[in-house]
Amino acid sequence: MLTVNETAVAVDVNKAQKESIEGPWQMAWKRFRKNKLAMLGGIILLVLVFGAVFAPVISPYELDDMDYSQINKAPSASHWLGTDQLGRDYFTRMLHGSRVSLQVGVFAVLISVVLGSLVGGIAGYYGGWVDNLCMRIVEIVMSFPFLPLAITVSAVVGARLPAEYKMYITMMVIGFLSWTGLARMIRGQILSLREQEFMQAAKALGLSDKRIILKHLLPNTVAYIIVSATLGMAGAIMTESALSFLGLGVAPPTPTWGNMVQNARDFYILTNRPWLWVPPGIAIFLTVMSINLLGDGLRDALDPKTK
Amino acid sequence: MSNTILKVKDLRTHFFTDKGVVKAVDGVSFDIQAGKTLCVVGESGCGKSVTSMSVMGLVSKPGKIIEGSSIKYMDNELTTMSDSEYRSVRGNEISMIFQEPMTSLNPVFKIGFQISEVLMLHKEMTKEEAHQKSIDLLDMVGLSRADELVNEYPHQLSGGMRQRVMIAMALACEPKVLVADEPTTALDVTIQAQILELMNDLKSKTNTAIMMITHDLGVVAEMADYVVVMYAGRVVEEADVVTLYENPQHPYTVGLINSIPKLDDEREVLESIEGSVPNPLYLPEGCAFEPRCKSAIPKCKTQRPGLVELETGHKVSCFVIQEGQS
Repeated sequence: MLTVNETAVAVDVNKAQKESIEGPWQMAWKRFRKNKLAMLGGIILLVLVFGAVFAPVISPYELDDMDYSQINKAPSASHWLGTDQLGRDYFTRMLHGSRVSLQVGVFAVLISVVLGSLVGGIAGYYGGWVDNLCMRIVEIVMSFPFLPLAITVSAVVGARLPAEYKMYITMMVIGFLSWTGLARMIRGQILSLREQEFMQAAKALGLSDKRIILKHLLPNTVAYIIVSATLGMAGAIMTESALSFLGLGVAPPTPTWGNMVQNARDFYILTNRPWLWVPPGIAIFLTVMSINLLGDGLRDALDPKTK
Repeated sequence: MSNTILKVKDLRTHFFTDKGVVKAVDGVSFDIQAGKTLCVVGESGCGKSVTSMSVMGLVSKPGKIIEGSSIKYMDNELTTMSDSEYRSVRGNEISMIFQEPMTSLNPVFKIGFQISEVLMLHKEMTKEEAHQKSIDLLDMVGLSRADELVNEYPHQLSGGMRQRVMIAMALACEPKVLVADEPTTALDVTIQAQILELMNDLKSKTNTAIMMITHDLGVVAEMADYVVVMYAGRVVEEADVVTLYENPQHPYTVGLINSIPKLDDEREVLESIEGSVPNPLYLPEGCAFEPRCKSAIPKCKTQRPGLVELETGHKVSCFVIQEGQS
């Protein structure tokens, strides 16, 4: 039989063996878990995403149900966040609004990540005139004043489209204007990565350029991509809110937090019906804050050197 | 010879820089036979690594293999191959081991994936077959618990283990030629001996030809069948390993061999070759070694000696020796 001491040693050995097959993702997850704020951000975001995904199930009313006997009612037991000027349940609209806001955030970031890492990867890997061309394009796009251009595009293109498609225009405008920072960063990373010996080794193994860029270089920058995508998503949600607030993003009747805050432009509503603009404001704040916390936590976890 | 696998003839790799043309490799010829090891020796900066990169077709931008150079693998001329043809040779028929095992593996992928990738690419294996083969390969290069290693990342391995992984990768497709660019320089001496032994072992098992780049004459003695001594981008002497150690001819080779410390030596100060390799931008007009050579004659300053065969298989490029002969 093992003595107590021996058992302890055996357990230690077991632990050591377990630790020895710990990959980079597990290590990052460990570091991330220690970061309480980032965990809080993650949990808040999970709750919001849950609410958005299951909005039709959770929401007590139909999205466009109008009840003219219940116009502009303050929050009560039957309408948790009150009703608006058309008698629609505000809590329901909040939940559905989160769907649109998060969707815009996710897809805008998706567009910018795909574009940014492709352009950055190609520019960094090939160098020379390809790099020059890509970087000049990046600089041109970067020099567009973001908000005025976004406003112009949504105004011009958006005016010709039915209201329910305006959401997609908003996504694309944000996505196609925000990939430049990522492209620059990835190019920088790849410029230094391609000088590493494993790149030469990859070439010596007879891999094609496409495979080297997609399979060997970009995965090395994945930590940066994840962090930048997370933080970019917060930015995209803010931009969407700003555009919608100005009436140029997603248009009613599709609810988003941005166009719900728009209610506050009416002075009467601003002073007398705070339930119409405070909750969406708080929702935007919470989302952006939690995403930023999560992003910072991810950066610390994935790339401890930058701490 | 009939089983010559790789025939390099008059290889010239020049780098076109802003300051001028650097003739890193300038007219190098040698043959490699199946199942034999050719060692390319020389001090830093004499063009050894550029030679190996030229064979792999990996000379990058300002560098270029000059027309008229020929690298023949079996019956295929490598210098005129298209990129995609070359890719099917690289890693498949000719593969390479690098100097720095610590950085030669991609840090974000598991060992198993990196070996499987080559197999799936060149041998068109399925994922499962490649995975199994990776385990076998790791086993073959003497790594214990290969079945666990395939799921580990490079940073979890020591330098010696990583070099074994590199060898496993290089040998995955059973190449005919293995180019090893100072494979043991970054490793400590005991690991070095193990790696060399492993390479010798695999050579006799698979009949692979090895082209080994090194500046370590101890490694040469252990590995080589045939030796090419390079200086400033040219071959100064070539011979089989026994002849080279017993009867070195070129003053540079003599100097190299004399500078090895010996245990039974009474000397207080180690011998060295005075001076350093000339700047490749401004090579002397005559023999490149002339400024450092103790036995130089006036002719050496103005003319370049060619390689002349002294006896079968032993070639030297030095006027002093050649004239002493005749």
